[in-house]
Amino acid sequence: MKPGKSLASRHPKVMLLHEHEQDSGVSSLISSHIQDFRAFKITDEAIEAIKEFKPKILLLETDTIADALRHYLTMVKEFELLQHPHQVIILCSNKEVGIAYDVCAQGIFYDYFVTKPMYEKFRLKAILNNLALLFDQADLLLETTNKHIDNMDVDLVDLVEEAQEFNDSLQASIDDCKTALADSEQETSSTSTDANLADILNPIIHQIESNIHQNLSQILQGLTQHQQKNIDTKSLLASALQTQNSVDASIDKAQTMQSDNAANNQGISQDLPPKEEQKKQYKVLLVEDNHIYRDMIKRILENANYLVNEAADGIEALKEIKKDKYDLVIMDLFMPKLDGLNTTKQFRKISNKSDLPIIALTSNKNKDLVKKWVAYGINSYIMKPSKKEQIISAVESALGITETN
Amino acid sequence: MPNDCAIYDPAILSSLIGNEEDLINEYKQEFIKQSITSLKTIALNYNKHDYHAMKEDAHYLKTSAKALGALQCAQRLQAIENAALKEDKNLLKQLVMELKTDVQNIKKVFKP
Repeated sequence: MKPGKSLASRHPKVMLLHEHEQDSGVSSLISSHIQDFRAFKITDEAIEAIKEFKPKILLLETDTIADALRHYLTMVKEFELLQHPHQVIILCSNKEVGIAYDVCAQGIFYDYFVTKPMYEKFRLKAILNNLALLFDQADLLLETTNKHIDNMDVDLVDLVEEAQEFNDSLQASIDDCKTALADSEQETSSTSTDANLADILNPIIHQIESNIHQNLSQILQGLTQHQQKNIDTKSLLASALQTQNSVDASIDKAQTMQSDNAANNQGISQDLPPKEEQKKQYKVLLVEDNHIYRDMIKRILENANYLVNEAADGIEALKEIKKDKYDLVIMDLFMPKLDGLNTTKQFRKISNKSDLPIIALTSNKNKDLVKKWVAYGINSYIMKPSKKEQIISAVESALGITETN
Repeated sequence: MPNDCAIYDPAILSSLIGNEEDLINEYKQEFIKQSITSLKTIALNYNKHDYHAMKEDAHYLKTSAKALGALQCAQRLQAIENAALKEDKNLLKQLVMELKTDVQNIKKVFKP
């Protein structure tokens, strides 16, 4: 193997190996989507680079799939490389797409992408997205995946966001249930011969999982229909919310049963301390992407006897607001993923959050902007930065707290 | 952009979190770390000609710069936001270099 030219990152986690002096042009597509990427002609230098950097994602572009297999086997057997967790994408010509499919279907390589001729560039990006998530390396991705959705109509954006939240919250609930089940199983087996909690909860969890798959399929179907026929997305949203509520109810039921069982098993129900009857502590959700400023505001509020939970962006805030009951939200307007205005819009769509006071954190307050915020449902604002007293005063005012309280 | 403001105004941070020295130092050190990381990200996005990302990065750091009272940094970051909005590549290059100096200056001032 002769030394070859390489491209980009000094510590690549994603590598392209190509047979000829120039690749098909796929390296510029990959480098526009992935950081820590480097392309090599298949040479000794490439072998050394794989040895040194242990890439998680390897793309092989050769004349034939047989060549790709030969090179891969040489690397693995002869050079004893790629002994770490990795996945391979083969880049092939349209003529060999059937062979590529078979090879991938057998699990030899993760996936294939046709580069001769190259079309459907988003498919390669989608494969890379999936692999980045598989390796828990989302920071490899250079661009957000919402660019195209954001350019489309508002209803579609809302629908996609709703589907994502739905997916995330249900997945979180299932994980909680599974964790609780595992804990309970452990406790039950060691401390009690009473009713087997797993026997009770397993069917419920299976039912919830089945509901989720069914509901997500419905939502995805709804998305497709929306794009094709421009159907009324609001009814679909309402349906998604309704199904989510019903599944939430199932989860609540499962959790109640679980806690009842736990209490019965341990015989502690009569020993529970009475509920605290203290002066009302208001619960505030603080949404700010800058962790330093978020920590400062949290400290100020906690010192003033508020209970504060945090979220770093709008998506996290939406998850949090569904999990817990809050008296007030303080939120930055400019955040990644989902900004303050759109998060507010989503809050207002949740039926029991329509009156929730929301204070915006902002460094800009021209009159047109303030009108826009009010239209979106924001109640007041705090300038960044403000003095401690101004922040507390704005919070008290939003909560309707007077000095005598 | 002329440097018409102070590098650091300690009164701003005190008005926000009080005068507890340890806490103030903790925030200062955290800001130094954050500003170095953000400066790298801003430069990286400049090299990629991703002006939208530059605007977001500058806005992000501006929040803590203002809260800490790092006035020169905050002012420069606002200028970067404005230039990124106009996609003024030449001005952005100059501002990123100046931000580098601002970060070095604030690092000296915040040195424990």
